[in-house]
Amino acid sequence: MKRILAIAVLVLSFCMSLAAQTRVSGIVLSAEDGNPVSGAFVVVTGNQSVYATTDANGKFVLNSVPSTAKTVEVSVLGMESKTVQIAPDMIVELSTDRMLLDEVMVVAYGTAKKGTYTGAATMIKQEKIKDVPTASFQNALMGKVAGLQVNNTTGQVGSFGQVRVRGTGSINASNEPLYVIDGVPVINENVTQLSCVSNDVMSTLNPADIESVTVLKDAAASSLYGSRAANGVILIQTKKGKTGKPVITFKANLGISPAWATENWTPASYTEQKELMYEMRYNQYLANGKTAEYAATEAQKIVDNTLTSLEDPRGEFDWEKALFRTAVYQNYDINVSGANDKTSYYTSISYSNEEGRVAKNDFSRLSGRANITQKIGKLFEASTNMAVTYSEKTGFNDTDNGTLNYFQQSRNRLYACYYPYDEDGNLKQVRWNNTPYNVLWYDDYWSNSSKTLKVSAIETLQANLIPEILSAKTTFSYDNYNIRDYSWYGPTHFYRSSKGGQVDSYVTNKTTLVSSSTLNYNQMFGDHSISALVGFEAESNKTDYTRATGTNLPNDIVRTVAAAGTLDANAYTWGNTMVSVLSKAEYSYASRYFLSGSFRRDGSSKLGPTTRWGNFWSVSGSWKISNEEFMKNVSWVNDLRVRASYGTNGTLPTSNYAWIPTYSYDNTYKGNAGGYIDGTANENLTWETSYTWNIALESSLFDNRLHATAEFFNRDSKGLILPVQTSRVTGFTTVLQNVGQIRNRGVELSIDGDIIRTHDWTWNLGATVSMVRGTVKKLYNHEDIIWYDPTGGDDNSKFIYREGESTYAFYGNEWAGVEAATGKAMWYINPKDGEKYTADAEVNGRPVTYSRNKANETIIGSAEPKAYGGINSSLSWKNLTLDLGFTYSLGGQTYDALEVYNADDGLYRVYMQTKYYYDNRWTPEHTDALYPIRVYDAVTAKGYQSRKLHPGDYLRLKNASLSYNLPKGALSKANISNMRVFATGTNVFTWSAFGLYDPERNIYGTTSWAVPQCKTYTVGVELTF
Amino acid sequence: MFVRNIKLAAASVLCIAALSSCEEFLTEYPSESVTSLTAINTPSDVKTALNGVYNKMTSVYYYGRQFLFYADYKGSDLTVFSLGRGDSDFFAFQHEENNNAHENFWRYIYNDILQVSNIIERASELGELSSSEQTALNDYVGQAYALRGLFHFDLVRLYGYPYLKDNGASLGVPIITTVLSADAQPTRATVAEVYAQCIKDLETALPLLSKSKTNGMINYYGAVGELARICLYKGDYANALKYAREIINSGVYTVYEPSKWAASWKSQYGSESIFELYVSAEDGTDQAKSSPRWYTLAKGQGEGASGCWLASEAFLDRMSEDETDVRWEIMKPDECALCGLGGVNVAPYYIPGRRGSIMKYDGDGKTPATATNIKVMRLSEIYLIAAEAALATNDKGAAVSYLNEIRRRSPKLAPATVDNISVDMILSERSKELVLEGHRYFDQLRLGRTIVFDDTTLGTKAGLMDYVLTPPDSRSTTVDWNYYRCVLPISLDERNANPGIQQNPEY
Repeated sequence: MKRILAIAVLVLSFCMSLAAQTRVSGIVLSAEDGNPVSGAFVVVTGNQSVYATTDANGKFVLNSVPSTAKTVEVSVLGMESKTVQIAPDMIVELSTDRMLLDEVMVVAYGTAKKGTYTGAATMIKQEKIKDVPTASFQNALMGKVAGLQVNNTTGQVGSFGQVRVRGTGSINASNEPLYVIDGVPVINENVTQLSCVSNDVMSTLNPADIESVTVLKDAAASSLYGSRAANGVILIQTKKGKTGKPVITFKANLGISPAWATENWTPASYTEQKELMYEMRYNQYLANGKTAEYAATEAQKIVDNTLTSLEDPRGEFDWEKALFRTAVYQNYDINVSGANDKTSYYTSISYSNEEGRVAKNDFSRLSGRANITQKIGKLFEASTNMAVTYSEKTGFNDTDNGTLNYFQQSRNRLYACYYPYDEDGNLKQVRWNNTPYNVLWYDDYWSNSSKTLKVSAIETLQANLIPEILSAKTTFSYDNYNIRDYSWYGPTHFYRSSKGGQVDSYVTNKTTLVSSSTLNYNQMFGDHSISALVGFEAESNKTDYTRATGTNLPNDIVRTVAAAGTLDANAYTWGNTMVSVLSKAEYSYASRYFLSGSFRRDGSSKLGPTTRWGNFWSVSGSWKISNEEFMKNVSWVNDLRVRASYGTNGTLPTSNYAWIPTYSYDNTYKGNAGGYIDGTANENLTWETSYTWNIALESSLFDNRLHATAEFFNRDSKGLILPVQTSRVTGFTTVLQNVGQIRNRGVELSIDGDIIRTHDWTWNLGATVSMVRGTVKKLYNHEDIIWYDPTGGDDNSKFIYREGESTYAFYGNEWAGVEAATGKAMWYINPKDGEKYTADAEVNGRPVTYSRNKANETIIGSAEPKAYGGINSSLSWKNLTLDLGFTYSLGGQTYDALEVYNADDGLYRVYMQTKYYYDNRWTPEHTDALYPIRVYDAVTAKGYQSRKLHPGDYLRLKNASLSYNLPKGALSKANISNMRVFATGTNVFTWSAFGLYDPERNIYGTTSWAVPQCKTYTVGVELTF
Repeated sequence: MFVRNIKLAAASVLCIAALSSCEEFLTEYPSESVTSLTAINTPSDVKTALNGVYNKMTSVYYYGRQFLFYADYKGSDLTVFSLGRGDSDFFAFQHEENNNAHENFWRYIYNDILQVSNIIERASELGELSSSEQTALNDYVGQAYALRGLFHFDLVRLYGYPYLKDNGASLGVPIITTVLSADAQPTRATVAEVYAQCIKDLETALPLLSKSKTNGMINYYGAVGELARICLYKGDYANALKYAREIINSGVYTVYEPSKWAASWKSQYGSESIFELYVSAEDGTDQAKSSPRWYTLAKGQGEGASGCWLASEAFLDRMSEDETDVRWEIMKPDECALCGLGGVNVAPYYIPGRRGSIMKYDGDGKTPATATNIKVMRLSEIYLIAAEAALATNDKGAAVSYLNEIRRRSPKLAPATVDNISVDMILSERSKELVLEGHRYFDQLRLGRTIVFDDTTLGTKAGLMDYVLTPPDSRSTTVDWNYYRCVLPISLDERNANPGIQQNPEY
């Protein structure tokens, strides 16, 4: 067949050469390895109607080339474009991308060339993502995109970190970026109904299917997404088949997580714990005027009763070892892809299984995808992207609920004298001293799971009305998540024993439908290039929720609602809709001046009829200085460009129905519905709007070996939705109004360079720095707003929104240290103007008090880092590559909310304390102490205070990978076109300014009992046939 | 799904033509609620709305716990092991303007007032009704008026000085009889004005209300009983006696025989129960709705039992006047007696046999046991109101007979006589009979009595200094109506949002 084709081409070319127009053929090869490049686009310069695409062998044929044509332009995604002289049997060599300026980026509603794009956007390609052993891709983005902050908050498997683009712009509405997968907006949210688990939409996406991820940062880049793009947009493009023979890729990864990533509140030894308990009681008796002798006897009695009497002849029990395991990670991917000039396809199937270090915690995912594109005639092109994913999380137990959390039990509750086995070696049902429990025994009496079936289909029909000039595209997408949550506590488990056991089954079904149609125009007139886009979009989100609960279970064997003695259920639905029109126009002149503008109008059901329509727009431009005449002689500057943008975006209220004065019915009484007015409503509630300007300088120097970009931006988020206090006499406390304002201003730098670029050796080193300062500019009536870390179950840390202050300002009492002579805790009084106070002492010339409630609260720090980013190195020698990805954060603080439990000064009777606390507490022998005297019932560790603040600076080797491509010669006999083996490590090293716990905290800089992150090591092999 | 697809496609087409047609596509209402403007259209909707109010009354911030216990721990019939547990801020009178624990009363009760005002307003707008519908509606509206009277009375007891201190001249609470807009900033009426409004609402309710027993709802006698209470507080003893007698003489309710008294706490809607709030099994598992049992049951005696509140030494002494008093039957061993030291087994610190857990809320036949109905008004209280009012109007004979009807529950105590009957004797009986039903503090305060707190005896007896409460700074060992903190402050949040509202003196 191929031969026939080749002959036909030859014959045809012969015929054509006789005409006035000529026929040009050639081959496109990779400059690096000489392999043919398929799918490259070849077009005659100045005549866009004459073009061709290279076949599997890299060959192309251009028919009807006008005799006036001198050059052709050759381009392909991922390689440097080239303009070459027309010649017979041309051979064009393309270099692979080294962050090339003409890289084609996926942007809002289309693609753009990086070198001419007027917005702020960063694209990360598959190569950077593929080997990171994680079920969610965002980890791979850490430190690679300036302005993107990813915080992993838990080591629970299958969880998704918190992602912020350029700071936090809202107080009550969402700060999550918008995710767009293959052009269709997806709202990422935690979809489970269980409180102790994170099950994000994004964890259903197989990272191996991702071709590229683009982060849109400024208004020029994102405002085409209008109302939901104020927090940035993350565009995810899945893979497509590439022209050529079918390619089969098989990849297997195996890994282990043998240890935590860092120290995590290592407890003091058992002997030291007893010492602490004794000391707590002894000091208490002394404080109450008892004699030292009495105090010693009584304190010892308590230690003996509480701990010593429980000691087991078999010795101390190692709970750390019993509760946490070396977790195993495995991942298998197979994909088959290919394309010819009519059809392209990419299909994949993947299985991933990830164990948590907590014995019962597992995540598994099975996913399949088929992306197919078919050309129909000359005009039409249809494509289908289908994906089905089933994921399952089981056995998660890292809620803040202290009675259950295994990690907390291990650090704070389970003394080594608590022996889980009886004399015969059987696990025993026991709770020691009230709350600690034999988790090993109780393990069989609870279970939970969250299972997600996701089906998505994106259907696109494109009509190339005038090839390369005018095209119309319509997309319809169906996205469905079916989440089944389950939780069971048997009647024997103390947690639900008062209800005779409890089983909950939830079904949550989320469906998103999007219809989107665009018309795209693109034409060049000499030096002028014009493009325009208009579009229309409608979207509907619906969620159906059903819960069935059973209590009074007959036994510990039957674990379904059906068997329960008492049943309870609930079911309802919620949703929202949106309709938008959008448009964009771009103009460029002589590849030097670029202008762009966009406008979008959104209507949302989340707002009332008078306020639901909002307009969002942007203008932007860039000037390519390096293309000016006067720069032609500056040979060391390959590219120099400035760009600037200004525009608006919107954010919707979180609630679907905030504008509706709702009347609810869930207050049942005597078995009958009970109705009530359940809140105030503001019918005039409208969009939060952000106004963003961005200025950037981009350069590429020294034969394209050094790339540097600097961005300056300012985002003013106005009309923030805040609850405004009302007189309680009206029946309610607050009404929502658009009143607040926050500013995020910052600088982002990214630089990377090929330090070594020889035939055998290449070394690329890059770094990103983001410095974003979020400031509260305006609040209702200038009144402060106190708020708490919303992720913690029990108000872990306290913040204040105050005009002029950081958006993450910690609020509390200012710790003044420990009085050396007495061991008393001291706080600065920080008297208000004119306030009368009585100081107990002075520290640093400032009045202090021994009683925290006599001190005023003040701003004590900020969780916002001054700078964060990453350092990335890629070193290659022949076929061997070593990639290192570091992340860092500087200048922020973390708040150790757990101190109240594990450095408690004696507040709780039987909680274990950290080794760090043991070493740093006050005793008569150790008076230069960080923590005060230990006394039973002390309240000194309670409350929000700066003693719990620690520097959050760290540098972490987040990902390291070593990979080797086997020589091709040896493989070709086995029909293997490529074979790569690799080994990776995650969280390999962490250097942190304060070493008690993992410094990578949530966005609120606050610690919790969430299972910590661990170190993971994997090995893998990738085969391509 | 298919229909929605079509709608979406249709919306797409239409919207291209004219954006205004998108409005229908963009209209989304919640499935579990409706807009409040259209919620009440029929008498049945009114009944549903009333159900909502009754349920809300069982909130932990009202009859579900805090209001129920408030009078007992502030009246010194209850004490606490250590400050910081339970609602000890109230016990210690630690309520200050900017400490918001107390604000919940204000918030929740005014929300209840909003709901009943909405019911009354909406009910008046219903169209033509059949006569049976009208009768039903009248009863519902009567309940709404009666509840509004009760809510205002509860608020004025918390925030306003006792009526008899200055004949109601001092500040009470804002009187709310309509649905307010979000920007309303009402100010306080005097105590006398609030009392007058309560009486007016209850008198409006009387002719509308059903006279038969309506389990779980307020009926005619509930409203009459409320009037009796208000008149007693106001010192209008003649009317208090009149209203109390109306209930006693109606024969609709009967006093529990002493032998049946303890059992009456284990069943719903007893023969004394004039107004009782229903607590469902579902709410029984919700600590925000129903937690009296958790707060009274000693630690370790059931999941969630915190034993925060236990009978004070003074209350146990009062009960000990008669060891055979039938009311001992619901007094169970408390934390001191069972485990000591807040649940940690440290043997030497027990007080063996201390029965300080008062189990009036220990299950009434429903599962779980925490789902116990709340008795807002019982016939025993009406007898004691009658006794006190009769005594005040010099009808000692009647007073003695009313008191002894209840005093029979202490078989070893001699019945009261016309020679020895006193207000103290009646107050003591009220304490024993009505403990944990929301009376003791108000009973002492309304008569200008001095409340004595004992913060140390319990801890000393327990032999462990952990239990010796440090007397809080916020009150001395005695409190009377001259102490400014005998009433709650208006919260700072309220004052910020409503600058015109007046604070109580000295706060």
